Amino acid sequence: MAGPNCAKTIKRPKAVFAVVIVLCLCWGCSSPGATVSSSGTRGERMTQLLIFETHREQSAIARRSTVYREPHLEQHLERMLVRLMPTKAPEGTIPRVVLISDHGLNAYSFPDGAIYIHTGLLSHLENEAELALLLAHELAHVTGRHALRVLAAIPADTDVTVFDRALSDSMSWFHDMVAPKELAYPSERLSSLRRSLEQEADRVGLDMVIKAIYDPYEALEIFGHLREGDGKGTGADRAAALLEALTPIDSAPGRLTDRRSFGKHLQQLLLDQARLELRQGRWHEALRCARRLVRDAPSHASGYFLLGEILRQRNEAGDTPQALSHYFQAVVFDPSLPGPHKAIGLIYLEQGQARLAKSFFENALALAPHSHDNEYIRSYLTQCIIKIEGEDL
Amino acid sequence: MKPRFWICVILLALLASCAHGGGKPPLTFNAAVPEGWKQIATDDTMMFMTKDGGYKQFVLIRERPLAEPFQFTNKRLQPGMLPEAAAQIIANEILADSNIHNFSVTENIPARIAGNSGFKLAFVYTDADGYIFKTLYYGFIKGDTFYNIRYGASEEEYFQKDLKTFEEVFKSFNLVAAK
Repeated sequence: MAGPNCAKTIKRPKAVFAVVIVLCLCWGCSSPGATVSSSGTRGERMTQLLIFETHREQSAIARRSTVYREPHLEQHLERMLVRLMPTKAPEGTIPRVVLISDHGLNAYSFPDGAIYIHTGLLSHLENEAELALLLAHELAHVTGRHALRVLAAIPADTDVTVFDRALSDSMSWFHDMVAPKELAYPSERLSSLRRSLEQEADRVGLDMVIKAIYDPYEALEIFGHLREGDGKGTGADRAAALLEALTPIDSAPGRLTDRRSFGKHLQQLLLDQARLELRQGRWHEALRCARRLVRDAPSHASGYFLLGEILRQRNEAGDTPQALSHYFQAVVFDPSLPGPHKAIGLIYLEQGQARLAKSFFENALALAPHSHDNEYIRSYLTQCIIKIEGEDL
Repeated sequence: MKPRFWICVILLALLASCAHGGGKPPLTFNAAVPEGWKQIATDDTMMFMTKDGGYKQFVLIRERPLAEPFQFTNKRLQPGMLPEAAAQIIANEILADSNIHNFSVTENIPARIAGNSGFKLAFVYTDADGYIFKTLYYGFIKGDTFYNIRYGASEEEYFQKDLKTFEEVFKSFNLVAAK
């Protein structure tokens, strides 16, 4: 995209500058001593600023991200939100979940009740209680109006770009701990407030989890699972603090969630996440998602096909025989899936077994006569025929 | 020892000047710039040409070492890789670019490019500024180099109008020195 990008780099600073000016104007209006005569008015202006910021941030996310849609999972998440919500949502908030197709381990919420969760984070969760804690933590930020408290704590003369940065990341769940952003904050006081709000969201969130009859110990496994994905050992202190706060009553029997049922809800997401990771060449993560999928759904033909694809494309020592084995598993579970036939053909063609390859390519063509990649398959068939004719001569 | 030392220093300096002083290395391909189009100078090993500006239409021909990593996907092109696999990596790279939206491949077929086996991709996408681009992307691997020839236009009208011109550029493409 080299051509158009040249112009893009020139355009952006203008856009950023315009936004900063608008924000400066908003901030100028809300600062005491200007047009604000009472604290109530300032509060209203802050709320307006938050609404403005929320829309701006959400629009920016919509521009740079892909929303992940999976109706069954979304319905399940909505049901969980209802179960976790302590009472009615505060005025002006509608708790809802927006899934973002992204490999990051991140979740954050906005004052209007929107909870954004990256699919990469969801793919690491092993049980419903973990997901409940994640949602409850974000709900606690929303119901506690934490964004407003952060905004109120920012000194009036703060550089608005710094404020902007702080607000956009203030509600992060795990990402905060992975990538320290303390330097982006104008004061230690604000950093301290933010830390205390995270702790409050943890405590209130865990309380919601317990009241919704989830097992808190099972919920706290989220920190371990995210640490595995992060690989940096972050979050241990947070988990330890929450564990300490638990009482023996909290671990009443019958609270454990059904992991198989949770696994079913995540099947499509794991498949799509594995595809996303594969596209980006993140082999380890792609394999993790695909392996988890076939672990939870042992006869998932597309899962085995994807496992084969990841290994064949990675092409490290020992990958090809494993890939072949996964492709054959996929054929066993769903003989009508054309992809594994083509992939087996490709491996045989590369190994010089043209006759075997030919029969698999023919299968693939027969199974999907109008597939978008049939031109390639026909070219492979031609190669097979040339090789077979050469052998026959 | 001293004269030999100075000879070494001079030789190294000459080598360094060859590597940096001459700007970008010479291209290993040729292509005709159509009448009425202008070639835009760049520091990369590419030819970038347009008639009305890059946001209207452009032809971009580029060579890149296979070892050069992509920006958004960790996948690598490999010598001897099947054209379909190479096409997949290119599509993955574009799809993973967060500045690109609504990316949709409309055609992905094998193609012959200056006598080499390669691929032809046709796709549409919206860039970060909301411009919709329609693109034809030809690519092939020769030795340790990946060559690609792109034709992009921001509107259907421009795309169709200059398609024939692009086909002429495509036909004129040839390798001048195999790497």
